[in-house]
Amino acid sequence: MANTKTGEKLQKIAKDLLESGEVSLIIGYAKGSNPQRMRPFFTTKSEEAGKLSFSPNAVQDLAVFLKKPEVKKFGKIGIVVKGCDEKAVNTLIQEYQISRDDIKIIGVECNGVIRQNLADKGETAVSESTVYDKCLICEEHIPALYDFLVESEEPKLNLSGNVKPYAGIEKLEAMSSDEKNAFWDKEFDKCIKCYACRQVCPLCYCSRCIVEKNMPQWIDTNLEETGNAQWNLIRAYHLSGRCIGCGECERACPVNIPLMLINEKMAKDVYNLFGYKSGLDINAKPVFGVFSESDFNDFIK
Amino acid sequence: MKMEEKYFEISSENLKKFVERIIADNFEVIAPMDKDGDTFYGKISKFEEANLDILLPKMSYKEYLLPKTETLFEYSFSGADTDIKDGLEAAAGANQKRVIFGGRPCDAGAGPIMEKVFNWDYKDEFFNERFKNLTIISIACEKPDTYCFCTEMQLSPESSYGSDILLKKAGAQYFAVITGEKGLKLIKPYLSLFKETTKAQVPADKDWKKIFEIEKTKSFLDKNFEHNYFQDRFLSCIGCGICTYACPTCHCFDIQDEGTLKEGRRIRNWDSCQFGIFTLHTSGHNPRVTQGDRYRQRLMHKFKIYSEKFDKYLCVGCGRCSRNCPEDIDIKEVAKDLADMA
Repeated sequence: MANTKTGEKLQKIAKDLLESGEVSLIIGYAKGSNPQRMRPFFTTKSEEAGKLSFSPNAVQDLAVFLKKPEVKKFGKIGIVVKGCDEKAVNTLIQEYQISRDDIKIIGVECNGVIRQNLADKGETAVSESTVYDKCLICEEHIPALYDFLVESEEPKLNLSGNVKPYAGIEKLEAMSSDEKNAFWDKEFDKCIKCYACRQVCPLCYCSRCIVEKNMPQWIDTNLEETGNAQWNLIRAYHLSGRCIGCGECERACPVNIPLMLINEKMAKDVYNLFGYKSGLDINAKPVFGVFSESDFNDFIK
Repeated sequence: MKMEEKYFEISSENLKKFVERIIADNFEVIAPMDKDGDTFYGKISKFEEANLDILLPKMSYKEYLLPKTETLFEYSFSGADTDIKDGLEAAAGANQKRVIFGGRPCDAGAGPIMEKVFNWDYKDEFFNERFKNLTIISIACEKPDTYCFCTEMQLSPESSYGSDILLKKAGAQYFAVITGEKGLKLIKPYLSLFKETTKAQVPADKDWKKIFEIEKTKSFLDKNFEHNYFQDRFLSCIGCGICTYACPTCHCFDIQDEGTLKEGRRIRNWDSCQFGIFTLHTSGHNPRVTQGDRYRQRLMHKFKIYSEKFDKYLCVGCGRCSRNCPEDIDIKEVAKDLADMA
């Protein structure tokens, strides 16, 4: 069910931005192919702003479009973001992929989005057991950075603590190396290399991905054990210290590989080792892009 | 000459017995199975593992016709000797006695449609061998969902096209439509479980309604290659390969060599027209620059090019590309939009 007031506020902001010429494109959400789905919506015309909407079905991280050449050519862009998605915008600014001056951030306070597979089966309630794990650990219900903020119409999530987010990580940590290998072999065996995990990721923006580099062929092309493991590992490592935890890779994965177990484990390790959380501060130096004399590793000194 | 259709009745109980007996007789039975919170095709070891209530598994069973990676041949060098091992032997051997059980008419329809392109100029032995060894038992749909459009795609929820056996549920029993020799051969050793009947006894197909005419979609595509619709509508396409890989009829592959100077293999992997690199020339030029260009290509291939060449649309209307699209691009809605603009 669309949030009416939120929608109206978004429409007003978008209309004003387009009419004043402050932006030439608005990226937001509109109603999708069924009442339980929303979809990305793009407009350059203020009279179309009325289609903008928001609901707990607004699952997509729209920041992904900021890496797209077809979108970049619009120049100044207004984008509707939830707190998690906004961290991707920050990281793109931090990594010099977009300029803060070119982006108008229309933040929406969000108290959780419903897992799409449940929503598709008819789930309409926003609760501890229906939202994504990222929503349970969310600390950015209000985006860290915004030019406009639209408050939420949804009540705060009631967390009983009975649902443990990313419970799989602890299980994995308790496993031996062989058990971990067996676990991931089985998961990666399902991989079909559709690269949806890469394409849907706002931070996978290389114009030519390493899997597409074939002189030499770094990553085996096969969709079997070796090729799939290589792909999934390289994807994970390229996001360590960068992944902002929007969970889009796992949501998009058509064969249900639990990619967030990898991403969250890495984020946890990066935080424990370096005290760094990605996507919170556009002026922070990316953790793996900076040398610090206080680094605990001896080999680097 | 093609065998005339035959009709049988089979009780739900006997259907279960039939499936268990073919499993016991070493048929590899592939059926919709609950896995990882969704339903996927997989090998069942007993009847109960099959989920026959689900409308459609998340992915199609295309990989049993065109594996995601297939070894065409292996090679090794030893001194002046070269040893080449044909991959076809392995492919053929692996596929004897395989049955798809509990798929839907849309999935079944994909087989003969794909067969055309794999036998057009070059006869693809790998595809043919797998297809020949596959017996398809489909179950007619009672309730298609909003993403389904098989009726628009010249099939129907009760179509037997491409199925060796089509089961139609009627109360506590099924009617089995045997479309040809392959289906008859499969059930012959177990005929005591079936009771022959006549076509008149089989419930007639319902009057399935269409919401658009695919010929109109085609006629729009015939004349509007440069239309703005493609660039505007597919601004939201992120260029992943889900639509093509979930699709039962998309069949593009890429041939690659993997190995060392001493040994290796030539393989073919699934490939997708939605990837930017798909059409990237060695020169650096790319004729399909934008995602709008690429999604248009998918529409063109499905609803125009293939039908002009092979007299069949390259789409069975299963709707998997729409259900699985992370950005909610609904191909049925798109095809209807195009038909409406024609």
